[in-house]
Amino acid sequence: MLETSILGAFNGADQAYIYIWLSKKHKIVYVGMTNSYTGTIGRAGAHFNRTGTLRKRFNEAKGYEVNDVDDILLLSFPLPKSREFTSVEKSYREAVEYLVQKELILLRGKLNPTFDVISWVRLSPRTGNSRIKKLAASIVESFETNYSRF
Amino acid sequence: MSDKIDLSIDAGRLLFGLSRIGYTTSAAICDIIDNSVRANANNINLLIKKEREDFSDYKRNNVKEYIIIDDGDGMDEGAIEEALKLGSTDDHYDDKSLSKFGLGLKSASFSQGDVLKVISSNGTGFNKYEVSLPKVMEAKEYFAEKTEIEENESELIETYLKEGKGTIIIISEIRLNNHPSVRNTIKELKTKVGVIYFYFLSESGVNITIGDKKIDAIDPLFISEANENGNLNENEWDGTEVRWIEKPKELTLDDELEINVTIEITQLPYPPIYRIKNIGESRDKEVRERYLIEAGNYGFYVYRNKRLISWASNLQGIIPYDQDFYAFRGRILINDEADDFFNIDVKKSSLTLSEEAYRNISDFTKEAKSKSKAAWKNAGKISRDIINKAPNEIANKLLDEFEQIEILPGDDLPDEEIALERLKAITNDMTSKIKWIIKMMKEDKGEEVDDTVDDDYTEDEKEEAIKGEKNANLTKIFRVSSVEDNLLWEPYYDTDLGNCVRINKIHRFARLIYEDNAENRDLQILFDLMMLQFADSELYAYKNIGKYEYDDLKVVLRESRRIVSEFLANMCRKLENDLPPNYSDEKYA
Repeated sequence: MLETSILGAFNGADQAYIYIWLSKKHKIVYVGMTNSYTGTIGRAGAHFNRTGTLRKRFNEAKGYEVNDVDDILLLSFPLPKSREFTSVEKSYREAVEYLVQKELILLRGKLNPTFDVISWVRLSPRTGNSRIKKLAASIVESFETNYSRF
Repeated sequence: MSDKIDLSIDAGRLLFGLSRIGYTTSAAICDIIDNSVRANANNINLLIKKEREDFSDYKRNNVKEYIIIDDGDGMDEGAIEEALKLGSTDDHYDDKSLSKFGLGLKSASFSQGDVLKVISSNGTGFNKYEVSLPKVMEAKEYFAEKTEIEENESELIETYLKEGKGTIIIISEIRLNNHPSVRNTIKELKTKVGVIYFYFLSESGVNITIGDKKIDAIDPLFISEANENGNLNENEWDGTEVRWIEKPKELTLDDELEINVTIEITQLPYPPIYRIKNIGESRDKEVRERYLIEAGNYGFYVYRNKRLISWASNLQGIIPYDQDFYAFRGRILINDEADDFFNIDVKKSSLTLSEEAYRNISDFTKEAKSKSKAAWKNAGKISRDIINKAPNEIANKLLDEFEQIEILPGDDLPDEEIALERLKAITNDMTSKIKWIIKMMKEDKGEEVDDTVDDDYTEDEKEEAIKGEKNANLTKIFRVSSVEDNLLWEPYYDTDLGNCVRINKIHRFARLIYEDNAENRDLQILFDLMMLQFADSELYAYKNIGKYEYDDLKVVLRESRRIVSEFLANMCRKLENDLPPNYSDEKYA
């Protein structure tokens, strides 16, 4: 039996997320963002279907299928419950996503085991915003602090 | 078990092939200077002897010999012979070697001339060896000849190598087939040597001279100026100063092998602004020359063991071929451990990134590229704004004489009492909104702002926050970086400005108009005017539609504005590559 605790990660009704897929054994990290109604769990379907981006990037990076991975972990970081973050217009979410990815690239050499960041992110003009920088920093800090127990 | 079959080498053809791998004269000389640097030379002198001394330096095909003299460790007979071998070993040098293939001296020398002479001493007396390409080709055998030191060569030793040690490399029988003029070679070398050996010239006390002219170190990133001027704000930079885009950061290319590189990026000046700001002085040419701003000089400068190995590389397309990146200067510092990630060619003039290095550097530099391009465009906009009125100002100007209709046919003019009540409600709402607008502006500028909203602000702050910039020419239509809830636009009203619109210039639809269609000034003017009419109509409803409660109107109209903003963002997202200016008639014919 596979037991999966999803907590509130399915709830995207009024909630957007930054999420990180992590496999320590296979040393990969994939960063994304979503305002999907079904949260990060709902978004996962698109990542793992036959043409899904995570499946594709994983294969490109590793040379084998993501199906072979048995330790993959989904980390969901809720963003503030305000319209800037939940709207279709995604410049705020994209800015946090970009900064998180950038910081993880800088951080990866310091963590054990290290990892490749396999996601591709789009740059947002809002990356200079202090509130967004603070949000991204708190997500990365939380990732770093908890990394050893993942 | 297999038999070993001897496949003999035609040394003549091999050497001929090596001599044609495409060195420029300056690259060839720099490769020889590498040997001097790694031999711990303090003084390196390049002499260029002309075929006809009476001809000017401008004449092409007039070089007789290139002579490179260094006062480094020098070599005894055995070491000279080793250095002349093809694929010579590098064992006697330290780990920070600039050498990679053991081919540099030979391939660089024979790329320019047919004869290579090496005169060297490690303190035990000078020896001279010669290799002649025509003789090797004739014999089909690779060999050197030990020859007597000639009188003029003894003079060179007397003049430059008084300590009795050092090396003289002479390339003679120069191939005078489209060979550059002395002047051009010297001009190119001054820049190239200054940049290539920047660290050796500025930090290690190495002196390099061409004739009697000392070469100055040139930092292609001009970081000492960036240190004085600080970080780049792409929305405010006017193009007159060097700024930091990314201060030095360590990036891990391979976690398992622990391969780290250091990356730093600066933004150089925008030359056209000098043409405008100093009318009549025409300093833009001077600025272009001083900062080496031209097509072949933007991109990444890769230094291996502090020697430049790649000049202004676009790193396989990471930096696009685009004039908007002319001011982008990046530097990557690597050591020989990173060689597998930066596959360097024999000439040390280009490199190919490994897939992993490409991905990491590409991801890391996305923001820097965007900043550099935005800053270049902004400086261009500033320079255009000085000459012409920007579309936003034109749209505002058009409204100088415009009077909005007071009451639409069919609408009843509200009673004075109700009208005053409504106006008071609108004014109160807007007054309480200003502090939020100022908070958003400060956050967008990267300033730390408390969660508590401060009532204490200056008039200047207020004007800048409402309009997006302090500009007396903007009276009604303001392009700003933040609007409440990230909607496309919002109305603004105060007694001084009247009915106005604040347009969120970072909303996807606004970016489609302002950035993707930047060249279409008419579209921008019309869009600005349309946005004002939308905001004006909302304020009209608040003031004049008395049959609905003010609070109800606020909710409904705001929701409508939200839905329109979201629909437009969604449309841009879904039709991303098909909207103007990318629209093509053929696709939909």
